[in-house]
Amino acid sequence: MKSLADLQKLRAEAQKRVNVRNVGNEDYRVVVGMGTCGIAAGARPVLNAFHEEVSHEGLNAIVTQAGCMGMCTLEPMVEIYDKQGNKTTYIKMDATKAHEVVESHLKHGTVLDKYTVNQM
Amino acid sequence: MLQDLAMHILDLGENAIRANADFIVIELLLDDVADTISLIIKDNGSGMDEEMLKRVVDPFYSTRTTRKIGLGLPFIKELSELCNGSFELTSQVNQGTTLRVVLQKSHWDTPPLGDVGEAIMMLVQAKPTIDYQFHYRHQIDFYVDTCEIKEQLEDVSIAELEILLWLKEYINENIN
Amino acid sequence: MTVEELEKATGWKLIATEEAKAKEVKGAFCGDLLSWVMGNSHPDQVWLTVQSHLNVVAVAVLREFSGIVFVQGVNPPQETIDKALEEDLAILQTDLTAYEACARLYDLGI
Repeated sequence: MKSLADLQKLRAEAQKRVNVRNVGNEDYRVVVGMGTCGIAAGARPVLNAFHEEVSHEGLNAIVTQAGCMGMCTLEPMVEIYDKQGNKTTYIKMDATKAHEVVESHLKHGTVLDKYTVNQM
Repeated sequence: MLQDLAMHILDLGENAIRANADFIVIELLLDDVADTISLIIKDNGSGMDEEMLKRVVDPFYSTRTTRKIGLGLPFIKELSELCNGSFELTSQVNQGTTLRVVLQKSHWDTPPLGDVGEAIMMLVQAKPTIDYQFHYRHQIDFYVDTCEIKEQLEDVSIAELEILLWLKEYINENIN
Repeated sequence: MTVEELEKATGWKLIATEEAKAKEVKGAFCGDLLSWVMGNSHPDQVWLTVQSHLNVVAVAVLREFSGIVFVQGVNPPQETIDKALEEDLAILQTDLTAYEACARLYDLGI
């Protein structure tokens, strides 16, 4: 059974981990649509996948949430912004595609065109 | 309506975040005797005036204005009607909003609770500077206060993945 | 086929604006859990359901459906009908069950 006492141990472990993320100067900002349509379409596993990957792979990226992005038939949607402010919009995402996007886009800087809105 | 109550909690919590709240109370109270499930979400965000209070429960409010309000409130309102329950939304501009939804616990259409721990975790993740108080009651009371958690963590952020996963498990273990 | 052609082929009651009648029907979706419909349906489908709350019109508009088919004699409230007309969304009604109505549509090649 978990308890508040676990927090001390977790705190110690977190302090030992090297923090790669440069707060305010991230390479990428990942925005997952979590409006009602996004949640209904299955955005939660997508959010989880991005959070886990960014943390485990030690990537200099921030994962945030946004409300309805306006194109409700294309949810779950994820927008990725690079340092220059360029935006890539991924549509009809799921956890598997999220892992692929992390690998290609966040780790290697290559947009995965086949999952973007441009391929509609 | 959404498949389970956790999805509604996540959806409605996101509303409170967007209203610039920095303190959000979420209560999930199960009463076997009264046969009710109550969901209360209270925030100290920007609040709404009388006019807007009437419009936010209209599913078409979002498509008519430039601001996206969403289906969240119309969905939970419909759910309360379907489940022989009640819906109450009160608000004061610049003070905050309180949503109180009651569902009949034994009603066929009342959805399952779902992954409540994950919903709370995702809300904390969305904006870690916000403080949450989560209260669950089913015969016994269970409370989670992110202020207390942050005190324990000191300089470590509550948004660390391991801490968030702990929070999710901690909540779910105490709910089941 | 268009919504109007669908009405002629099935004999189901139709309430729709001229613009709504002209919409192409490309497939059908059957479901009563709104979130499930939102997550799994496609544009231009007709949606078969017993839900008649105003929210179904909002979902149908968001999902870009050609129309909603209320099955098993469900009579939507006036509010739902009015909004559907306003949004150029066709409403069809049948006494058939969802199963029977789907079978009918399937036979028509929808």
